[in-house]
Amino acid sequence: MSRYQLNKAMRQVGMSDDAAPRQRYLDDPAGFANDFEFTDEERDAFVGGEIGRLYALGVQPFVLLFFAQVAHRANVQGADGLVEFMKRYRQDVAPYGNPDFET
Amino acid sequence: MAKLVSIIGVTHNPMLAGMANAGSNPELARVRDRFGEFRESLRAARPDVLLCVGNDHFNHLFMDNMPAFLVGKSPMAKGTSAWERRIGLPDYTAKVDVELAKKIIRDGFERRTDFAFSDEFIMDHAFTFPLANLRPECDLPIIPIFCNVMAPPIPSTRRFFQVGETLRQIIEDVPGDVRVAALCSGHLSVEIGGPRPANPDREFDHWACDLIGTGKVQEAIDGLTFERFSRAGNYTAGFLTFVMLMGMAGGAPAAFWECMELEKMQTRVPFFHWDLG
Repeated sequence: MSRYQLNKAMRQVGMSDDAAPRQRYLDDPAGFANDFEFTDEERDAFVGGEIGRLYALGVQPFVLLFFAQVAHRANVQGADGLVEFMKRYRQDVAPYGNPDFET
Repeated sequence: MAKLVSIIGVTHNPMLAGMANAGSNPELARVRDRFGEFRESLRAARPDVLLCVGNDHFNHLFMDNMPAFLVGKSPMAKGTSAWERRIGLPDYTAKVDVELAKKIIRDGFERRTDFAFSDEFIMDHAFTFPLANLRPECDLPIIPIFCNVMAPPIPSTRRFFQVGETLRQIIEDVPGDVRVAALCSGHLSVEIGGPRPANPDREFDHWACDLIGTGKVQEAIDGLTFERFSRAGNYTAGFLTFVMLMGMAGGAPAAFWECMELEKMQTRVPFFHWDLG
């Protein structure tokens, strides 16, 4: 497992002040993933933006929440958009409870 | 010798960022008014410097180099990050008391506490929120102490208490009539990016605030385990900064403490004040 690599990649996509990494992931997620040392399972989940799988792998939930906004192309500027995003996000992660996220 | 004159602990919950414009929201108005009282308490303590304890939310520190405790010692401290500013969290800029920051680092080595340090950092809302609300004048030098409360392995409750004790000893060893106030922000039960509600554990919040406020040191050390934090919410270890304050206070009960219940907003808001005048 390389939880650290997943956290690092998701942070670049979801939390950078610079918009470039976000756009690069959206344009070419597989190419973006090539910069990191993922297992096959991690790579699939990251490239596919599969929030539930990433969560179950034990990534930092705080970082995942920001990554999910990009991966889902969510518009969270307005209250309605945020509520809709959070509803879907919680549905994605709920089956997995609270996994350990220590790296 | 220098004196620790006041110790204050408050929340940095972003949900409360709009309290200045509480309007018709009576719960936000209660929080705003309590912050106003704390602002006056801090002013009345006449501090010369603010020792600020908080954490970073992966804006500056990450798991490539994660310090347990880090002292910021660049000449100026600034915040917040761009994304936090976009969601309405406040900026803050202050000078850093670099000499006192270095003394904390040097004396820490002699007192079994190896602080990391940074000459280039940003403060996020864990610092800018309490500072902007409690010292909006930005006129006092600060020393930011960053604590890892988000990336396990996280230091234990006992360790947070000890580091608080150490900071008090170091401050009281500073020559001159310097008046130091400690200002800290932290969290009650909180879930971010997990399936539970944002502030899931009302029982934990009231119990944990009572431990700090009434100075139940041993009960806090025994009971506030990482496992208990995790049961209360995935990032509830953010409560540990309040344990550091209890260490600074030597385990004395707070002069004022409160776990303010906001029923409509489904959250609680902690306030702690030790008046050491």
